[in-house]
Amino acid sequence: MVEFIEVVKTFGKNRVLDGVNFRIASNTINQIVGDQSTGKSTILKMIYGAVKPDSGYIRVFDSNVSDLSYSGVVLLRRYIGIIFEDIRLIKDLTVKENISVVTKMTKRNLYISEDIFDRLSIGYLLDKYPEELSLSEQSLVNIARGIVFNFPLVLADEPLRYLSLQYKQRVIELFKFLNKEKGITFLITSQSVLDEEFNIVDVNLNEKR
Amino acid sequence: MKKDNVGIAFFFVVIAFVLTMSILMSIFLGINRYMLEKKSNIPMYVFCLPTADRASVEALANKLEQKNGVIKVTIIDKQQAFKEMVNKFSIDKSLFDKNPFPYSIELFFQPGYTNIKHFKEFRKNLSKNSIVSDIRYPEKILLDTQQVFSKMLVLSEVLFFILYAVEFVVFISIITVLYSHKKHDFNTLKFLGIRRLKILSMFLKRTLLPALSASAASVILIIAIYFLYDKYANIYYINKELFKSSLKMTFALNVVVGLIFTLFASFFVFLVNDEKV
Repeated sequence: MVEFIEVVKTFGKNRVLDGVNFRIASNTINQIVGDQSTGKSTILKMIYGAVKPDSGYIRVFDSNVSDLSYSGVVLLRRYIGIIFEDIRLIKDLTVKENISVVTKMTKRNLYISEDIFDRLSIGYLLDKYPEELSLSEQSLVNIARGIVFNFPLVLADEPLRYLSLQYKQRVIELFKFLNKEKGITFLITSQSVLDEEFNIVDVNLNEKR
Repeated sequence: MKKDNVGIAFFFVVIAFVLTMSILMSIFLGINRYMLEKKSNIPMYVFCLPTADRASVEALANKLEQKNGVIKVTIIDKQQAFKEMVNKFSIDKSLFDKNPFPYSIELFFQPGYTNIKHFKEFRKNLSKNSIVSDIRYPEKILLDTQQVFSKMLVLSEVLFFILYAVEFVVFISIITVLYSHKKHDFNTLKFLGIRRLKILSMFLKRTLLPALSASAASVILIIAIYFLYDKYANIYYINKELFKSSLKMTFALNVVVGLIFTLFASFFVFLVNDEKV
């Protein structure tokens, strides 16, 4: 589903990714573990085309992301659920609007798994604005937005960072449930191993930086 | 949707633009029209031959009335002229054995025709007439008025060009702030698979909506200004009717200019700031 071949990325004088190779199979939950500022988020951003590699090959579904035009990248993103590290809720939209904006603006009639709102206990937040929510509630909405449409691939950038232990466990169980029941593939980044059942992706991150 | 403070600021900027430019422009147009009226008050005198009789002078006056740009033609009767001179200078009438005055015609022209070039041409053509002996006009006054008017016109054009340029820069600045305020959200939408064209339309909605609301609010304000000016105010040299009619015209113009500025500034800001992320 996702493949990196000899991917190199440099920011200024910093070589963040130095010949990264890995492959992610469908219907699996995968985890990239590493310290902060080691390029985990960059890998995810490269998958949804927000960052271009200096060299190398990135295959997502059946496309080389680097070869896609900008319109192609935007179209690709419509099949990827993204859980952002910095949450990124749109502040002048309610929680419900934040979630439905994906379907409303692309005029797609996607199935919404409303049971996810119950599983994450955010049903009562739907009519609230992001600024009325605590950081952990915002984080749950961010997670919901990434998984509620059952996209085949979900990229989750440190999704559990702002959650309590209890909620962390609920989210991990939810990911497992979605993977098992709906075949969704996950690629998660974190600073520590989240669950022993998740595949650890060996990406040889530059830990010295 | 939550209230957008930058949008509200832009709403007031558009109102200020429409009202300031309309009122300033109306005052300038009022002064301009007043000067045109003054310019149009400069006469041309056509003196007929002493032998010319009343009927031929009237025929000439009728002919002149048909000429382009002529707005008023008055025949000055020779008896009347003689009587007025005698009265004005207290001269003994018996000193004259005959009336020295010929028939003459006083002409006034539309402002566009009240200039040296046209007057000279008019004189050249008219002097060929068999009953015309001389044609005169106050050349110095005409020249001075023409120069003052031209300078005033250039000054007002330059002033309005500068004002419009400044306003456009203000529009661009505030729309840039409006874009920057939403840039993070727009990028998020792009990551969620929303096309830039859709984001442009959202952005245009955010800029045009305050501009349209401000135009509607300006209508209410302008009606209030009409009412107050009509009832309580009076600007020296500016006729109320002139002010009101020019205000209507400049107001409509500035509403349209405001919307065009908003549209152009929005496109410009989007093209400069929006990134393919």
